Amino acid sequence: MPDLDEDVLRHLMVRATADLAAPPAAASRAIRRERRHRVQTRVTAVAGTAAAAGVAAGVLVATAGSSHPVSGTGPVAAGGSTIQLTAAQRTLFGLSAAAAATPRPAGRYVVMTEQTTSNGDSASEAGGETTVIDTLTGGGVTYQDISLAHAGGTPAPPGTLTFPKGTSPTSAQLDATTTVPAALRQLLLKQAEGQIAQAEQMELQKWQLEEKELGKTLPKPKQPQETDDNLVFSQATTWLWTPNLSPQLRSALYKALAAIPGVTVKTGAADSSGRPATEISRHDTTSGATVETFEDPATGVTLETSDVGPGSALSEDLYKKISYTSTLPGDPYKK
Amino acid sequence: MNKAQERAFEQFVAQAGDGLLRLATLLTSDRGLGEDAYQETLHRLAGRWPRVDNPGAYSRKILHNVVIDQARKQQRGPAEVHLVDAHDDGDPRGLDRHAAAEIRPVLLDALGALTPQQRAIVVLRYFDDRSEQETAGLLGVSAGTVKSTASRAMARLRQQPALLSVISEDDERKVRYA
Repeated sequence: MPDLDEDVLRHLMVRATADLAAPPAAASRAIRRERRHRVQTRVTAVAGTAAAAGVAAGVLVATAGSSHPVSGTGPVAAGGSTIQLTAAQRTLFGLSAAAAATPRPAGRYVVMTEQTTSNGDSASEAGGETTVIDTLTGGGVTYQDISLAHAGGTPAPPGTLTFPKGTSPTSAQLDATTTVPAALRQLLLKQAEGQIAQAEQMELQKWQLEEKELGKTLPKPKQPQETDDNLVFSQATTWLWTPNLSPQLRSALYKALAAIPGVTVKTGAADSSGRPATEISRHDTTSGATVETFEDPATGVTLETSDVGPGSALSEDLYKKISYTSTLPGDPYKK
Repeated sequence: MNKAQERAFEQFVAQAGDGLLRLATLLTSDRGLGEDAYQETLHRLAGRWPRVDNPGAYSRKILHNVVIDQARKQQRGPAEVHLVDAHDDGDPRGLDRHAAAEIRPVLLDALGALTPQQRAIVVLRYFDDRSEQETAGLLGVSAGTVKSTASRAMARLRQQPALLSVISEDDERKVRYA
């Protein structure tokens, strides 16, 4: 009887797969999917792994320029009624009051598990991705990234996580932010304009680099003109996604939303995991996309946000779980 | 990704793609699932490419996660019957296609009888030539676990007569005198 040892097994595995060749189009397919995802994905202020400012503004710029009507609806309102303007404002003030009455949970670290999907494809890993935000320093780490960064080496033991700085607002920064709705609107607008300027600068650099690499003149990228209301709505809903907002700031953000024309509110809706929600949405005429955000009616905390782009392309970010802790949590990937 | 990063990504896939696909096939013990896992790995890798320092190790880690996700999905969903391997005549581009067509279904069946962790460990250790330490790092387990699991997996494989029957004298000779 032949003997099977490690060397023979190695030889068998090599022979059994020697004829398998990767399809040549696989890399370009992956790049196309990534480009599509990048354009559609709404970047949050709390994304601990991204340079939020630049990317967020990039999305604003990249999706703009189309005026197709939106046919998709994202997570469907479960038998809810559509309320416009005054009634919508009343609901938003209700959310504002609920947020003001909900204390911020104690604990330095926010641990949140998000599930991101893009056109029905899971963009994050199955089961979601878990990010820890240090509310004292604003640093954020996604476990799956730590786990990947240590691929080939020993995973970092709990307690030795290093947080990149400045990716998320600290609780102190958030607490120092104005809670006067009119002043908050100005702040959101200024911040959005700053991000757009930064994104335009990045686009310009990319264009110059491509021209240099290709050795020919390329058309200069055009930047669409966003309206102030578009920018404030987008920015306010992005801020609402931030878990460590003070109750007063979350409350003021709802008041700022209530002052924006074109906001639609649906009560009795549900997020894509079936949790009861109030849906707030607005069609952005410049980009042709509709931003939808689903809030917990009892606390004003965001449960999910989704973008329905032109042609009903859909991306969703669902908060599966948020918890707070005073001690640095361990890496769930570490066994 | 900017243009230069996209080019670097394509270059990496051109160099490492065949190896990753073969690894994916062995890790999933199925040719069709291996192709799916390979494509999904590239997608996730593309998403993180600007932050990747070591794409070789990184892609293996992602592949391992993808394979685990696939296995969980399969457990939840209805059983699927894969016909690919039953009619797998080997890729005509391959030089050793007759041998591959003969060995592959038997080897994949044998690997399929292992637990996912056993399979990952024998494939990473003996096909991908990762050290115990590297394998432990990739899978998030201790080096001791890698050693004991590999030993149990080998014992289990030795109990598979079909696998033993495809070992040719050639395999043994080449290995012994390599």
